[in-house]
Amino acid sequence: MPDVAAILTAHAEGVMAGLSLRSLLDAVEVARAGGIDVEMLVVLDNPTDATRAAFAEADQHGVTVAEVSYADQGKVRNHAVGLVAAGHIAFLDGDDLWSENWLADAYRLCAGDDQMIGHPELNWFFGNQQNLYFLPDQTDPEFDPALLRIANPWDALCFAPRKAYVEHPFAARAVADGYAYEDWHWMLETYLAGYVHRVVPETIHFKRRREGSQYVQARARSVLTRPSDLLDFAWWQERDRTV
Amino acid sequence: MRSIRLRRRPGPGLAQSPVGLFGDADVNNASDLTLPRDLLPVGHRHRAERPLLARRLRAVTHPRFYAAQVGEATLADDVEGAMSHFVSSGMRDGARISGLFNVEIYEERLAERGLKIEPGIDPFLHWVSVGWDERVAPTVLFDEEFYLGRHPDLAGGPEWGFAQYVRAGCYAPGRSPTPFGPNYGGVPAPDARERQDPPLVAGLLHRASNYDLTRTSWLEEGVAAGTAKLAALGSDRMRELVEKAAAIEPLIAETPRERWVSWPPHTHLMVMPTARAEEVRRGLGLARADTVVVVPGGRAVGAGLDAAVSTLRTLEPAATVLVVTTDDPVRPDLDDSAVVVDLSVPWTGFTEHRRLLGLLDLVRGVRPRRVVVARSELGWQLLSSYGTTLRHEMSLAAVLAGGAADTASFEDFQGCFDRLDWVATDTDAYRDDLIARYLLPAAGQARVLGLSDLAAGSLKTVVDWERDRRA
Repeated sequence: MPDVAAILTAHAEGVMAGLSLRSLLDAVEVARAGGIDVEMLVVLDNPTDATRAAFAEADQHGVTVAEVSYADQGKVRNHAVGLVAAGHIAFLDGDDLWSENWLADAYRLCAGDDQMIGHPELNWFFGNQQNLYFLPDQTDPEFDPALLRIANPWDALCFAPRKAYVEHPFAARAVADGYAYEDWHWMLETYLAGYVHRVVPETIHFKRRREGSQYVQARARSVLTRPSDLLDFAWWQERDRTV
Repeated sequence: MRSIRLRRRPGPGLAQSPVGLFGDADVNNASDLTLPRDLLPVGHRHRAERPLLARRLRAVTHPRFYAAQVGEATLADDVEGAMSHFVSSGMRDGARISGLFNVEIYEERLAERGLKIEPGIDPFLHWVSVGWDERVAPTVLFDEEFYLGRHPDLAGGPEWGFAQYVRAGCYAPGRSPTPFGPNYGGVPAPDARERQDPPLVAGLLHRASNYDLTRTSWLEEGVAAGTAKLAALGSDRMRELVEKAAAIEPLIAETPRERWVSWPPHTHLMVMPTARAEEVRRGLGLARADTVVVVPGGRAVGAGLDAAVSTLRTLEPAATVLVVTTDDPVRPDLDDSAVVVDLSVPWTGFTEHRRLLGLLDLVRGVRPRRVVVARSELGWQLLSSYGTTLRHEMSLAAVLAGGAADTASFEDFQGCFDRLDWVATDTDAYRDDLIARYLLPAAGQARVLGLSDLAAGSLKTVVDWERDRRA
C-alpha cells in the first residue's frame, strides 16, 4: 500500500492545469527521494476539452487519470478517495500549486498519528488577490475552536489519513437549498471526531484567486454550511463542563 | 512626589489641531498639564510647562486602556482624568497611558537609530519629547511605510503618518496601519474619537487577564508574532520554495499591489466576532429554545407580536421562548417567562455583516422550532440573507406592524414571504391591506394573520402546518 496519494482535481482550468501537474510531480519527486511511496491520480469533473487535453500524456508520468461527471467538488473528492489505496491523501486543485516539500514534510509530521490532519503553514494567494494567510494550528493555546462556528480557518487542500475521508465524506453541495461550504463542514466533522488539525512548518500552498471561484460564488449567495453538532450550543455547553 | 498642576479642564470633544502637535511655538489650544521636569530628558526639561508635550500626551491617551491597568473604572471615559492620574501616579507605577506606546518597542526602535533612554528618564516622556520629533512610532501596531503606501492621500499632509493615525486614522475603519488589517477595528462608536476610544482598544483588552498590560497585550503580541512569521518568509528555505514555485507559475512572484496578512488565532477578522459570539453564548445559560423572537429591544412590542407570543405560550406552555434584542438592551414587555438575550451591547462596534453572523450563530446554536422576527432590521436581514437555508432547519415567521412604527418595508415582506410559514400583523386592516395589495391566493391568505385571527386561534392551524412541513 502506498504511503501517500497525491490527487489533483480539475474541471475547466485548461492548459493552466499543467502547471499544477508540474507542481504535483515536483512534490512527488521530493517525497520519493525521501523514501515515501506515492501514488498519483488526476480526477477530471466534467472537463472542458482543453482541460482533458492538458492531461493527455499524464500517464507517461505515472499518473492515473479518471473522469467523472458530478459538478460537485465534494463528490469528486469522495470518488477520488475510492480510487486510491494509500494511507494518506493530499488534494490539489487544478489551478493551485504546492511547495515542493509539501508531501514529504506533511507525511513526516502526520505519518505517526492517524488522527492528525496537516495544513500548510501558509496559503500564498496570487492572481486577483495577493494575500498571505497563515493557517492556524489547533494546538496553539491561543486557538479558540469557537472560531469554527464563525469561519473556516482551514482549507480542503490538506494532508489527511484516508480514513478521515472514508469516515467523513464531503457533504453534497445544495446551493439551491442554501447549503455549500462542504470543506468547512468537513473541518467541523473531523474536529468533532477528534482529528487534530496541525500546521506543517515551512510549507506553502500557492492558490490562484479568481473572481469566479466556488468560494467567491458561495459567499455571494449567502449560503451556509450544513448543520453540525459543532454549531450546536448544547455541544459547547457540554464542552464547558469538561474543559 | 512630583508636582502636578491642573489649571483648567478643557471641555469634552476638544479636538487637537494636527499642526498643534508639531512645534513649541504653537500655544493655541494648549492643555494645562505640567509634566514632571525631572523625568524628562535633560535637554528637554525646559519644555515641561510648555503646552506641546502635554498636547502630545493628550493626543495619544486611551483612557479605557489606561483605566484597565490602574483599576480605576471611572477613568475609562475621562481623558483629562486619565492624563492627570497618569502624571501623578500611573507613570511612576509603569502604567501605559496609550495603547500605541510600548516601551520595549520604543527602545528597540531608538536603538536602531543609535539612540537610547538615559537612566532615570521616563520612557514615555522621552518619546513625547525626543521620539516624536524623531518620528519614531513606538508600537508594532503601526508600520509607517505600509500605512502611507496603502493610503497615499496622507503622504502630503501636515503630519507624519503616525500622528495622523493617532489623531484620525485609528478611528477610521478603512485605515489599516499594518498588513494585518485595521487592528481589529470594526465600526467605531459615534463618540469614539471624542472619548479617545478607538476600536483597537478592544483588541488591546481582549483576554486582558492573560497579559501584563503595562508591557504588552493580546493585540500587540499577535501582530508581533505575525510580523515574525512574515519575516520568516525571508529565510533561505522559504525563498527557495517560493522561487521554485514561481519558476512554474511566474504570477506567484509578482510584486503585490498590496498584500494582506491574516493569521488566526492572532490576526484574523473573525477573531473578535468569535469572542463576542462566545460571550453571548456563555451569558445565555441555555442551549435550547423552542421559539426565538428577534426584536429591536425597548419595552413596546406591538399588539401583533404580543398576541402571537401569548398564543404560542398557550399552545406550548412548557416551551422555552428566547427573546433576542438587536438594537436596545431594554427588556421588551413580552412573556414574563421568556429568556432575554441582548446582542446590541456585545456587538457594538461591528459591521452589519458581523452582527448578522452573531445573530446567525445564536439562532442556529439553540436549534429552535421557529424564529419570529418583529421590527428588527437585523432580524429581517437574517430572513432575507439566510431564510432559504434556515427554513430547512426551523420554521420562520414575522410580525408586521405597518405604518411608521415598523421598519420592515413592503420590500422585506415581499422578499421574504416565500420562506415564511406565517406572518402576523398588528391590525386586521393591515392584514387585509397585504392580502389585497399582493392579491394573495387562499393558501397565502391562510399564512397572514390579523389580530382577530390570533384571538380566534388561527395560529394553531399554522403552527400545526409548520410542524407538518418540517416533519
